Amino acid sequence: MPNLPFWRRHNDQTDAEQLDQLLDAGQFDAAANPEWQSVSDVLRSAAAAAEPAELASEAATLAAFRRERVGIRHRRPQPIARYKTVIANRFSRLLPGRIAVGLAAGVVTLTGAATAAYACVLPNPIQSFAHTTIGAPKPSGPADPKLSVADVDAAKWKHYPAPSVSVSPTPTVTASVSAATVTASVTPTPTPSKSPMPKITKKPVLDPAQLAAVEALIDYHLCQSNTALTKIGKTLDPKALAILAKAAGSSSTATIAAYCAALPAPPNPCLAQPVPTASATPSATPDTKDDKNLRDDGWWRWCGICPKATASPSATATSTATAAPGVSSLHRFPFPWFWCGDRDPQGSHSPKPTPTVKPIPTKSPFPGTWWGGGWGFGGGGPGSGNNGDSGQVGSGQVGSGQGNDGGQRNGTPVHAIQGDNLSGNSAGQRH
Amino acid sequence: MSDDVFEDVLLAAQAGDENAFAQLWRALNPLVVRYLRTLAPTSAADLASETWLQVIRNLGKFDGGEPAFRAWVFTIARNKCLDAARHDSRRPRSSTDDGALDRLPSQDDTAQLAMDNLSTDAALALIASLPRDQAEVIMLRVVAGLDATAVGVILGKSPGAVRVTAHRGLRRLQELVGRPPVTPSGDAMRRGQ
Repeated sequence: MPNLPFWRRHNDQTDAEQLDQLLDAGQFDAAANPEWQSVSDVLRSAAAAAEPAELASEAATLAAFRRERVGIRHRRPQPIARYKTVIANRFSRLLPGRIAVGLAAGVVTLTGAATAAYACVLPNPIQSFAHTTIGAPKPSGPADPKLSVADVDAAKWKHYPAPSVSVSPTPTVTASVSAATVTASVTPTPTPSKSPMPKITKKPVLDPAQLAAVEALIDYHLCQSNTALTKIGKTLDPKALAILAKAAGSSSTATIAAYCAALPAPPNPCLAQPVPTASATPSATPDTKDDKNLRDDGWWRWCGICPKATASPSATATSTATAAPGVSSLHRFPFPWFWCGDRDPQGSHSPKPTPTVKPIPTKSPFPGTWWGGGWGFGGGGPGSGNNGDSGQVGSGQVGSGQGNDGGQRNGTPVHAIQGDNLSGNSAGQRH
Repeated sequence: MSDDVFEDVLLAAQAGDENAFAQLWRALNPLVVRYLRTLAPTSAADLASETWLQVIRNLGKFDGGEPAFRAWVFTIARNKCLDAARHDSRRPRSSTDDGALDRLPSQDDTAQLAMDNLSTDAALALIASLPRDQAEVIMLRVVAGLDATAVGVILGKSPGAVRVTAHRGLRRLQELVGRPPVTPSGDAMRRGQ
């Protein structure tokens, strides 16, 4: 279609050039293109110079620029240093507070620990540590959980020569003998008393001399028991008899009888002690020296356990504990006295005459913590024969010499040993 | 502003010189506002402020001449306008929207107003009455002073497409200016569709 009039295309090409000139500011010739004059005026007005209203927000924009550029200046040169500075500043701001909180927490912790230590509620190892460091109470149990209380007590009492002994107003005698060790204990049986005696527990190991003495004492009492039982037509406990036979070297009756006849009676060291054997008239204000001697010299450890009578501070000693010269040593040396076997310097077994007992002062001369406030070991006289009857036995017979046999004078050890395999009980001793 | 002068001013602005930045702002802010007025007449000022805040934040990262800087600023402005348009489309509109009243076509004939008082505002209103792509191309080409290539980069079009769109807009604008006044229910309404 070569002859078709393409005037439209031609006009479009011309208009395109004119329109490009319109869009390019400054290149449009309005005189040559009057039909585009109005459009050119519109475009020129649209691109006119700025009006004041269009520049009104300059201050706000510059303010934003200042705020932003300040941050940029600080951020750009040393970004890492600024980061560290920020951390340091924050840490420095938080540091005093943290220190204060830490100190407060530490104070609270230490105070709580100290309070717990003094309240004795900490575990034993910690309690032991607190005891050694800040003087808190001792732990009730062993510091080392692997150790038992007996181990701790044994370690505590290892420097004492005496074996384990527990003393109470009415003790129960328990004894056992083995080839290697000898362990004896006196288990307390609580009896009505105003001031119960403290419990003393010892578990030492005896040296050979003490062991021999203990064995001799046991043999002696076994002999006495055997003799007494034979008289009434009874026999000794087989185990006890076996011990006696072993000591005698033969199980025959004749050999045992010969052995027992040759066995010397144990001494009574308590009678030889100056303090208790004196014509003691306890005063309300005892001599502190004697008191100290009683404790420091170990007298009480040796002879304090001897009496079986209950010391009653309220007892009014009206009984006259007169010594009976003819009383056998068995009466004067009940079983627990074997501890005192090597304490008698004279080796005298005879009891000393006891002076007339004077009224007992109401106040104990011994410290309240010593024997539980009670005082006086001397039991009643030989005639009282009532173990545990503190009112009759009387507590005022301190060192009277006869106050230690109590109710065991009636052959009690025999029954005790016989009935309980060398482990007498209080009931048996009262027979 | 020549390229040498612009480079010095830009470097000073990037270094934090407030006066240098003020020179850039005074040269471009009226054009940006006028460009935004054709796209979002009710929020042009706010969008211009957001545009310049973005420019301030990223000023240190910019590297280029004066045309590139101008294209960069208008690109930011256009993105802000599009973000605002998306935000408005997601935001529920109330029946008492003041912007809706502003968007209603005036009862006065735009061409007559342009011819009677050919001020900047009237010229911008006349251009804004064009279809959006045509008005945008004309504004970027005439007001922003960008070439077809730069406008194509901003709009995502080829330079030829930009050129055709601009021509169509100018012809449309010629029709608006050269024809006799019409009633608001006539061409003016149809143009907006």
